[in-house]
Amino acid sequence: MKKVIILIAIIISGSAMLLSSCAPVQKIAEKTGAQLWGENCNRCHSAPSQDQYSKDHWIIIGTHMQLKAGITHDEETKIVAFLRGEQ
Amino acid sequence: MKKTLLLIFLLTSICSLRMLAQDESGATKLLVGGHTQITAVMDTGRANIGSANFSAIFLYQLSDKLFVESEIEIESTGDAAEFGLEHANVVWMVCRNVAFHAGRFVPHFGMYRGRLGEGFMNRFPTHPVGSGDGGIGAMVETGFGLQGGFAAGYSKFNYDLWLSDGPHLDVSAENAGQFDYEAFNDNNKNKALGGRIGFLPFSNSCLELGFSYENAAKTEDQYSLAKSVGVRMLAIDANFYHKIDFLKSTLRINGEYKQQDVDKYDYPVPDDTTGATLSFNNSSNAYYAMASIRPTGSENAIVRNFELAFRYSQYTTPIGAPWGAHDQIADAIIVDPVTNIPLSKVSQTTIALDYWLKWNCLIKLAYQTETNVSNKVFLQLYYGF
Repeated sequence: MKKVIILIAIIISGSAMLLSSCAPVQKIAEKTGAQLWGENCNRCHSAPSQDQYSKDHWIIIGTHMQLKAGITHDEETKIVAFLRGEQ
Repeated sequence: MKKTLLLIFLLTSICSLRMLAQDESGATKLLVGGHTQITAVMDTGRANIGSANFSAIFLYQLSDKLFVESEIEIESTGDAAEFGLEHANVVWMVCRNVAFHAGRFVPHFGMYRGRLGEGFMNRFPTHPVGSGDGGIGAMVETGFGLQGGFAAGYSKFNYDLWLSDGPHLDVSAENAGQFDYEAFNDNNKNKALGGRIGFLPFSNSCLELGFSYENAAKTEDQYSLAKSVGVRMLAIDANFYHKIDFLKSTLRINGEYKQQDVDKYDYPVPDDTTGATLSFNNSSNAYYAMASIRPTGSENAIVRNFELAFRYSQYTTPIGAPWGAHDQIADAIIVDPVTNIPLSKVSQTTIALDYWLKWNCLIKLAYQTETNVSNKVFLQLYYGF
């Protein structure tokens, strides 16, 4: 029983520490494409670099990820602009 | 007839929209992507390097508003290669926060299938019990829906709502109460209604929480005695990632709980000629939790490409049903070795050490234990392109 309580305490305090370091700092609308690229791609996988695809292909991938990962239209527009080297 | 008219109307609308949209913004853009993998499995009785598959994904950006996605997969199963249409979906971007989709699509039911369980997002060479083939819920659905996402201050929401043909109930003696989730043709007039809502509370998108629900009021052939048997499914999911500075590492934690409840029905008994029936509480649930850590901040280029991952999963199937959890490798139902009765509760533990060759290519080495299945070592090479 003691062990379980200690384990729960560790999990709760660890979770609290992790979540407190994720505190909101900036409105989504104010973010740059580079910021959004780093944050949103990494939710599921490593973020690919700009040279992985052509400019046209980034447009297609942007739409695909908007649908697949549920990123907003504004985020998609900024991320694609960044990956196409337009920011 | 109604269906045919609806289909013709949909196709005509899509073609008209396509032509209008093409006039607005010029040439079609095409990207052919895909993924390939080869897996070796070793246990006390075998060392098999035979499992390989290849998928081609076709993405067409027809205009700013129109998008088509399709995936074709070739995989080795048993003694032959199987060729299949995974999905084919047309999407019309209605406005900034709304996209209409129609076709054979991957539903956002939970976050594992179609997203975290895919190729290089999955840190393991296998799926959790109850989440792969033979698990709860559909991998693909045929129908249409609306999806999108929007920001609300520091937070974000995303959603997907769909109307689909829904699952087909199996009333055969051997599989009584199971479903064919991915049939190409509907078996009745009823439609399934489903959806998921996702919430990202933090501005850096490090945490996503989701709730999914699907209801099909009728699941059997419209002329069958079991025509009114309905099913309700729900899923709760969470995905978290965070860079831990003092460890110079990235931590990932995600998990999902799924539940399925089916209306009662008296099914035929296997090998019975007396007309006896079998009735059981047809409720199933499954969950998994995984955590991984990768020293992404390490100065050593080799060390930062390693990732250590751990996953635990459990699948509970109805007591008294003639079926149970599925062994993904042996392609068989897991049974009690003494009574030969399907087990109603199966758990699985997997530990994996991955090495990232590129952002979309990795080698997965894993050790897996599962209830009443021999322990296994997996080695998989996965490449997404």
